[in-house]
Amino acid sequence: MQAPAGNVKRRLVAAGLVLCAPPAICSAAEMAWRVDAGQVVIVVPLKPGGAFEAKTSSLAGRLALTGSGAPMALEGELAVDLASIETGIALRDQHLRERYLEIPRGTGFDRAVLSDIVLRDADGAGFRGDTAFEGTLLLHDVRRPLAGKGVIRAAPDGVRVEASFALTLTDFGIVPPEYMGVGVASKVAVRVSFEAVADPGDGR
Amino acid sequence: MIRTPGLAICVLATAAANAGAEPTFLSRQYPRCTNCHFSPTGGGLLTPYGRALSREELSTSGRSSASREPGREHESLYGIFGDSLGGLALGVDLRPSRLDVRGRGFSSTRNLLMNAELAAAARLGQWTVYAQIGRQPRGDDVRVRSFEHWVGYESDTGLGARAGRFLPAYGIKLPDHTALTRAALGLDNDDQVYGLELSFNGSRHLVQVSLGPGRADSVDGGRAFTASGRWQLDLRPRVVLVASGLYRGASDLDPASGALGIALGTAPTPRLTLWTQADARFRDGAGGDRAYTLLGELALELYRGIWLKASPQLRTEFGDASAGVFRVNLALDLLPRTHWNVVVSYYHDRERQSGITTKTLLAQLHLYL
Repeated sequence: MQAPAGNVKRRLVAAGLVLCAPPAICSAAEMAWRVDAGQVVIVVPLKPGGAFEAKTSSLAGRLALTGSGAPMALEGELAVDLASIETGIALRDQHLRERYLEIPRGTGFDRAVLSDIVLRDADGAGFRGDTAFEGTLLLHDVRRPLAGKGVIRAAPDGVRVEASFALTLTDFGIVPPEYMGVGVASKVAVRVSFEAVADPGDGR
Repeated sequence: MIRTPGLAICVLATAAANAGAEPTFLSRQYPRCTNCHFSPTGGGLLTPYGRALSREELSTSGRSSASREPGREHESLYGIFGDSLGGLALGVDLRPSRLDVRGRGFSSTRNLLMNAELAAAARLGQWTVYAQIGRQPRGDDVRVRSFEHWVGYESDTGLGARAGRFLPAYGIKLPDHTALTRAALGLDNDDQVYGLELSFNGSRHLVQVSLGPGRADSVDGGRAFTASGRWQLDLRPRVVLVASGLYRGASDLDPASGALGIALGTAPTPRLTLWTQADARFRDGAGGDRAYTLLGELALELYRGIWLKASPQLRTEFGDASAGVFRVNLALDLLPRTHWNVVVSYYHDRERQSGITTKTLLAQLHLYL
């Protein structure tokens, strides 16, 4: 028995709506975001007293949503070019890169890479608000789990993300820097902010 | 208030600005004096780190090259002692100067050796021993003595203690000790106290409390119990809030007095530092007198090692808020090479009630060897 013409028409319209819908209401498996830049601020406590900020805007990567519901797992990675970190003091930058992060040693040392990201309180691509997160950080050729907090807000082309977490340098085999009696504490605080642009990916 | 030409000359003749870096170094994210100085209240002998930073970040042409060994240019006397000093730090501070003061009906020009000091410090674990001996002109006289000497200890948790002769911690310790927020509060170059200071030096907080029998150099009957407290909160690496209090008990010569102050330091860019400080001064007496001091200082690095400073300052008199002095201080601070510092300062002081002005030009070659 043939379907009534009206039903066929309604089905075609529905299918068309699904195919033409914006990313926010696509299925979770198709969602991805691209990050081309951001702001990474590392607050480094000094001994004796005080603190300084090390900064870079060299943040890039691509994240894709692989499942649905909470927690929200993201495939892909975010990477920071460590050679771009600046503290405002040239000699300190040089020591940071060469002696402590050992960037000249190459792969594994030249970038900090966050992957296996799981947003604990997020339940889908449309989530906006505060969430705890976990991930795996590669730093100084050591891969360690980390956890932090973040907030996701709406942005014109995707989402605006602000996140913070603490790092213990010795966990990553980095000897806390010390120079002529002035050193830094092993535990540093990291603040990250970036805009993730919805990215349809190759051929989509 | 500077009431006479003689006093004006005397005050400014001792205008020994310390190496003019410390408050302006907030712009480089150094909110604490102890990053570069042995003294927790700033000024005086530089630590090895402070010396290195002075060379690498302050001097116009002293910065070491990445392609060759840095050498010992920044070390004491250009490193002539080699490694023989071990953990002992030494510093020689010389300040030949030229002072020109002009006011209504008078003028004075003189060349003088404003400062000649030798300072030494040693860190032994968590202990620091500091001693200084110096020569300072006082009018027609010259005084030679140890103006600062103390022993300090700081634990791993940041708790510390210091005992000896030192300047109490209060507000912003500007390099210019004639600043109205220093001299008016009894925090001039020779206003050190004998005392005990307890402190907490945390990552965001610095608390310093001192108690003692009073000014080390007080004349007979002028010494009185003195207590001070200073709390510094580092809101950001380039934003600092400071609250301070100072109390001096009654002596045979003066009534009990003190001050409460608040200061804010910000560095919106790596080349610009802004400091402001406001103090309410009080003293016992009929009606309970009050007076105030206000200060702002802008320090702008025009080019590496070339700083321009501008500082409006106001000090009112006890019992008459319309009296006092208004000062505008402009300074050009040149640091052409490690250890070499040329400071040209202009002071315009106007007495608020009489309108009498005093103009002072001070040129200093500051050698920090």
